[in-house]
Amino acid sequence: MKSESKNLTWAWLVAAALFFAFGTQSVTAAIGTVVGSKHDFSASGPSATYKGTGTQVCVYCHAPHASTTSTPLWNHASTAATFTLYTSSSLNATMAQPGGVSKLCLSCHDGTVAVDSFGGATGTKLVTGSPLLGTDLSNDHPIGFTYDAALVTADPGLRAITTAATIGTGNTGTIDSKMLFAGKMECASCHDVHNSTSGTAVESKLLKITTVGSALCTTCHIK
Amino acid sequence: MEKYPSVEEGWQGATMALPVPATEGFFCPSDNIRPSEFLSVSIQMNPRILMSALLQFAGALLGALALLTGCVSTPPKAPVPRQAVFYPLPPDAPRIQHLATYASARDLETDKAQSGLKDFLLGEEKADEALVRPYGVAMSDGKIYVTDSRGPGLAIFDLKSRKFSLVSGSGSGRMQRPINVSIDTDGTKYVTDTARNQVLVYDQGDRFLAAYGGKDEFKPVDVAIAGERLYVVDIGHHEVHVLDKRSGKLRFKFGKSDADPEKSLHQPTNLAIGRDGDIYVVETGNFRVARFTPEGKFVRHYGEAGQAPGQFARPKGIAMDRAGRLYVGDAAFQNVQIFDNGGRILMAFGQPVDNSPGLNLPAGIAIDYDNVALFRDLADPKFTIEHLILVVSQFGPNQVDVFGFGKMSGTEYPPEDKPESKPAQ
Repeated sequence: MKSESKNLTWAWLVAAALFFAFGTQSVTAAIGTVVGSKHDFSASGPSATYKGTGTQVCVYCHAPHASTTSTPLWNHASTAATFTLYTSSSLNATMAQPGGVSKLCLSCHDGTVAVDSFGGATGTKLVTGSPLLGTDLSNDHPIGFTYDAALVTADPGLRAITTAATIGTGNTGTIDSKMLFAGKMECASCHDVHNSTSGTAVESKLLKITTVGSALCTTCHIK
Repeated sequence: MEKYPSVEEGWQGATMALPVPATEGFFCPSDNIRPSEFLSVSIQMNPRILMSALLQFAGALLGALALLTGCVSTPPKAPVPRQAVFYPLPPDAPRIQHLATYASARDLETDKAQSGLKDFLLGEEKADEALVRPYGVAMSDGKIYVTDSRGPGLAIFDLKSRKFSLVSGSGSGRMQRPINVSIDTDGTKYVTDTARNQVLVYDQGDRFLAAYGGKDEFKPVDVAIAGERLYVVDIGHHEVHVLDKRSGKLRFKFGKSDADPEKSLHQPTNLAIGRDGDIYVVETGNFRVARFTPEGKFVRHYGEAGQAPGQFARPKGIAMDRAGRLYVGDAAFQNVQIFDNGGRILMAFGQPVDNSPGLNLPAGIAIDYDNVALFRDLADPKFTIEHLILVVSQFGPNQVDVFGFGKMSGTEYPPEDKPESKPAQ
């Protein structure tokens, strides 16, 4: 009799444990899809502060290619039917700018719509001052610079761009193919915003490579 | 020729290190050596030797300066002769001319040739003399005010005295992450701060007066002044708060619609008040502009998500001119689109043209009618400016661009829109 009730208690405990284990999965997205991730702003999204009333997920970054019937009244001669997104002139080549990939991130992560955690050193290769991660991120990792063989020669602490790199799950390639965009380092070099199975290793920060043993950093830096 | 005394003889008690020629025989002092470092002279001897020593020193200094003129003639930023940039591009009749760009104190310098010598004497331009991450802009009395969220502070380009300054406030008036600024007719400034989550109030002399906003009350992105009221965009709760401008007390809120969720605001960022008194709020998260009456009653929407002219992909800043036209900046298209009051798209400007790099993640926009005279000499002589449009770029070398809206004499323009509407009472 006593053992029977003890077994029953155990059964209840196991059932409760299983219930909570599966139940919590609805709160955060598993790695695999942007739906349910931090960038899901649809009505069924996870964030109470950021979710909207619409049903679409992709439209927040990927503007639909709809054609309208109205042409600009003062600009009849314009041949462009649509605007190109996040491009800017490369005429002023003296200062490297973040590419289109990073601009998309920065257009929201500017301190108003989304948290502004990017310090601001764009287009520079070297971190001036001591890179101490704190509240002032202005001397932390820059973006928008070209990472090529010349940079590797200039900085022996960097790996060659042909070095093997594995992002996410089983997604192997080289630094150049998996992490750089047109040879440049951008926000998406470390962050996989789509939270995809093949590209995300750390879901909470949408990172491509795990930070265990600082593997993310040592992919490019020899330390 | 008089023999110059050796360093040991004639300069007893005096020490001077002469500049050492570098590789090419010229020494460029921008390598972090200031004159004070190699001119430490302590004088403690006989007046005659002192006089000759001083004369020789003066001669040596002049000689050194003459040698160093090689550096002065190549300032870091050579002024590029600029072609006039008009939007829309030909053959359409020009409406807007790009007039000036302000990124740092250097852009206020009237005499560019002096900048090389200034570098030598004062060292490289200090980091705090330039904009870092600007967002909002306002203009008043010949000064352009730009809120720099990473300054952090209110950067002021004084166009009359050609000076740049950064006001950060101190103590309880210290700005932490200022986003937008609005200036009242009496010079009172209202700055929104998304780190403090308050609207900070400064008087005409930049003295801190008050901070509006309690704990969890709002996350203010933009503020506009209408009479005795402040309209504050709260992105935390997706609403617009209407405060009393003198006390900061909340009068009412609007933006949420339980009856029709389609009309509710989502991620509203910037707002502008039209000449008719209506409130135009940019909903960055809904890719449109929502228009309300001053009491918060919904009127209509402008725009939708998309890539075509008249649509939005990342709308942020907004400003209104006196004819009721909406100027909406889009950070994805890197331009500003102009709509008439009925919602018809008129044109877009800000894209790269020839030597002009164009806007770069445009954020705040302001329209000014009072300071046009300051820019007349920068405009094409045949182009009459009606008002100025100031647009802030968050990245890139162009940080605040000033455009002039007007008409070119001798050009055919289509029959005009409605005349200026009367201001609301």
